[in-house]
Amino acid sequence: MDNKNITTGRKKIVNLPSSFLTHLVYLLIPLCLWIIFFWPALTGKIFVGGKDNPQYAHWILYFFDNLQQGVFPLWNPFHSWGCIDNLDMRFMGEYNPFLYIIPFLRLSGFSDYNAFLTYMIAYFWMGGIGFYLLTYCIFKKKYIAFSAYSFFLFSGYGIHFLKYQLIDLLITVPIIWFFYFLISFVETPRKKHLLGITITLMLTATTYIPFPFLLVTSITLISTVLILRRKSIRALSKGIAFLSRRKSLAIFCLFCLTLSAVPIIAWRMSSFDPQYVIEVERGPGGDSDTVEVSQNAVNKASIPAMTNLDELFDNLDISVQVMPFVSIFLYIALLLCAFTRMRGRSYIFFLSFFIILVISSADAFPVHPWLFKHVNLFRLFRNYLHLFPTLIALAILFLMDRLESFYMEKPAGLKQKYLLSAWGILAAGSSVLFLNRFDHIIISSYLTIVSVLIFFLVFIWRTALKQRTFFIAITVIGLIQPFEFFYHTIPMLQSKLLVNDHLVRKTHFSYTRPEEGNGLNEDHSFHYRYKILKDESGFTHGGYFGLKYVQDLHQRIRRPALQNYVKNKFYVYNHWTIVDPGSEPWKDLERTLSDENAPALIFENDVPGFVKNPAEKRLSPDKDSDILTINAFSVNRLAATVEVPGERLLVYNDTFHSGWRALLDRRPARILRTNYAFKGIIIPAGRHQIEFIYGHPFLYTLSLTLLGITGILWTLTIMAFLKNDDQKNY
Amino acid sequence: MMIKKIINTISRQTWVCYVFAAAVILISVDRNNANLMRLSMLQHYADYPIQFLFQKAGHQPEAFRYAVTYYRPLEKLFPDIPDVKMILGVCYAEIGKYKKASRYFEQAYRLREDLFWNLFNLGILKYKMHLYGEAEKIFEKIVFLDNQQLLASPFSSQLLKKYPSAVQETLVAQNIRFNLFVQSRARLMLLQCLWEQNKYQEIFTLAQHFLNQPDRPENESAYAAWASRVLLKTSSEKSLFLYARALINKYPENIILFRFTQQISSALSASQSPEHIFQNFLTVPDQFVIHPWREYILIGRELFLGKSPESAI
Repeated sequence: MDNKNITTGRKKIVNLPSSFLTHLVYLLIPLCLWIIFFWPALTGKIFVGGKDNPQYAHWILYFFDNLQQGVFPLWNPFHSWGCIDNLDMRFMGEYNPFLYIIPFLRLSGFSDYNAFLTYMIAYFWMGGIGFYLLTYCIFKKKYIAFSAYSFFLFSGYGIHFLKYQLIDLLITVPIIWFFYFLISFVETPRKKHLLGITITLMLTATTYIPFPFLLVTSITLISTVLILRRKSIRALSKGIAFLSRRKSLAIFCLFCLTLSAVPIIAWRMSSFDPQYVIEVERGPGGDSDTVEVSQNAVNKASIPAMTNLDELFDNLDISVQVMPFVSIFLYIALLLCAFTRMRGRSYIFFLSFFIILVISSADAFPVHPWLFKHVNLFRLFRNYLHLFPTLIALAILFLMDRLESFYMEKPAGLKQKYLLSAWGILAAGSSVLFLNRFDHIIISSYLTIVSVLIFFLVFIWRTALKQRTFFIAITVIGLIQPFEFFYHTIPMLQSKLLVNDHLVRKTHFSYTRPEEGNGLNEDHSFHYRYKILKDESGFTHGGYFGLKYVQDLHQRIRRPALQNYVKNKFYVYNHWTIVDPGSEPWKDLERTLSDENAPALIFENDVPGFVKNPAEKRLSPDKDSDILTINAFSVNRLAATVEVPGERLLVYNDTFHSGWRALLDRRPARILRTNYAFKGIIIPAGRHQIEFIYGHPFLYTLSLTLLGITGILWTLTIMAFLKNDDQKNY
Repeated sequence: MMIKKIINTISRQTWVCYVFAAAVILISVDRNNANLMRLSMLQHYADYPIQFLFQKAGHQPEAFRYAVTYYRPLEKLFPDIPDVKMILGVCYAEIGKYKKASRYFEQAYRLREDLFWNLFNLGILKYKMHLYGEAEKIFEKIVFLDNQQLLASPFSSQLLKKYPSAVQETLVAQNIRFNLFVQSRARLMLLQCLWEQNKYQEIFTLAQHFLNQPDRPENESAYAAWASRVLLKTSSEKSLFLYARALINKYPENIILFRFTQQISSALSASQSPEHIFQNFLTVPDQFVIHPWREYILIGRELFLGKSPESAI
């Protein structure tokens, strides 16, 4: 940036650099246009947020509601009768300080819906800014960055996240910023770039599964090293030299990265725990590794499953698959640039795009099946559809690169001009014929083709256009079709799924569970995955992963018996039977669950004080009970006072998991796996204090440390940018 | 040297990259797999139009758009299955793309003329497009189908043979019931189309004709309402009064018809316009229909998704 510092007397007045203002204008114009299109959504005229977003909104608000009470949620007692909170592997970027815009907005009086929407749009724009800076960093021209950024904002990236998947943003934004910081660091290593690289890597490690990041980064870096060998070696040695000079900074960054890798490594290790299961539809079946997926599951979420060639052009006015949308200008312009010369970076964009596309196409090409078979990492991820925004970004970068070459290689000779014009007419004509075979093409598609052709002919024959005018003109032409597409698509974003009352708060304890179906929106089969948001009965399967015991009960025990049993969260038994933990006595269990005179079943090998009393009814303590009083409840902990006349078995109908521990009168007590899937504890006669606690103190410390460190890193990076540490580092 | 220079120059051309990418795609892409992936992803949405037509799901335009993305490739793969085209027609009609819907219904009709619920849907579409003349001709065709045509089974005889004989009988009986249901709807729609074209005399004649045909009581009262409406429009209140009385004498067992005539009589005696009474009895069944054998379509789909497109056909 050109800093224009004017020194007057002893005071140093720092004016805003003019280039900063230009950047700001270039960044704001497309954003304002984007906002105009989304105005009905932003003003609440239409509610956006179908598909997976309600799920994310729910999780995020659930997280903050708990955090507000001083609890970092590790266990979710409302999901499937109790489940590990991050078992679904949908890390919502809890460690991303940007997420904290939501509680801030809520405290400022925003509704949950508006706070969530504002967060999504702000994060989306962050991605846009990152892409602008990345393009600027590569091409060193503001108008090229402006053009690329405009196309990116008005592509599938700019619309898909609102309706369907916030996860697209959570994956794409750190990838974009990582490449921006990396390229900047390679050019001139600075502290701010290193901090930026660290923070984006930390975000990637703690948000969702880092597989898309690893795939994109490795492919791009390998392509770069292969194509630009010398430059890569030079950059590497420059980076090493910088790190050796700034050892303490390097060690700090390494420490942060190691720390951020702990949750994902812990998750991976725990996936071998036999207590976990994956949904049959998605899992490979019969494997002890919970997180491995089947090839069939990969196919279902691959790029050909999301779209086909027709849907990129056809029926765009009623299109439901908005994710792969990119202006038709891109295809036409790339065709017109067919006779330009490739450069090193052109090959990197092209190869990275092509390889990622081929791998993301799963079974449609032989590459993914081979990798799936031979590289274990490929068995841990299935949602290749989340790579769409990255592919769009790469395609746009390639387009910008080709357009720049086209401008530079403007033909001088008459013969060349004729040939290029003929090619342009042929390409445009073929495109029109190609579109003609489809069912319904929106008018702006044809308009774009005609405009591009006219512009290119004018450029070839007539005017000596400035490069800035050239890129601004193609931006205008390129946005014709997206404008029509957005115009048709935005009213279709209307969804009732993210309206305030669909976001259910779950932080309070109740003695009974709601019955199945309560509060569910059952009017349409589309909502089957979101029932989980509102169903606390434990009968709705909306998640991908679960705990094995619960799953077994659902499969083996008849529903009425289960329904009647889990209704109450506590039972007090005075007789019980020990059974082999490896056995599966389904008939006895069903009797226990449905008959209140039947003994409890304890699935343990050795239980001290084994008693078998004559039959007596089990008790289900409720709110007014004199047996059990709940003193404290949070999602990770429950404290109660129990008073019993003799030795009793207290069953807490929350899923059994080895991560739980119990305290009886502040002394460790053993949690018994009772009635197959639940927690039981033996209480001696008298009045006692009991506590159920989930999670090791290490987990809390780690979670809070990560939160703190990412916050510190953000602050440091922003400060380094504001200080502009160019000279300081050298 | 020369060759190296040429290679060097060519390899730097953008079009070479395009050719390379196109070649890789053409050689290695498994189109069948790619299609299967897309269809398997969308199969959840494929049932929606069927659920909607059976009134088991509310109207959701987005679901129809998803269904279109499912049925379009399916239609390309199996261009000879009229049911797929018909469902596409319904989807487009519900999205509001009437021209496209019409094209699909017509294509389905050309494939099999005896699938007259498809013909009925085409008629409904024409009615919705305000092309009453064309709709009239279509409904007329359905209304005056001969018995043999009416009882014909749309199930392919080969597929029908796969079921046990008892099931075959049930299926045929179900088919007849459905065909009669569609035919009676077509009658009402025909009268509605004639009304839109001010063909009152024809309405009266046809309504009288339909009243003499076996039908459900509520339909009989609707025909009577049509005849009465025309009478009021073209003749006098007195003749309507006389007609109502004649109806009671002729159909003493039809309670709905009795109620209708009673209401007409009391309205006329109180010198009130009986138009609102007509509105209560005249139904416009302008919803699309689908044969209850949705398995007919779904069997094919499942076979197809089971990677055996040959058996699906």
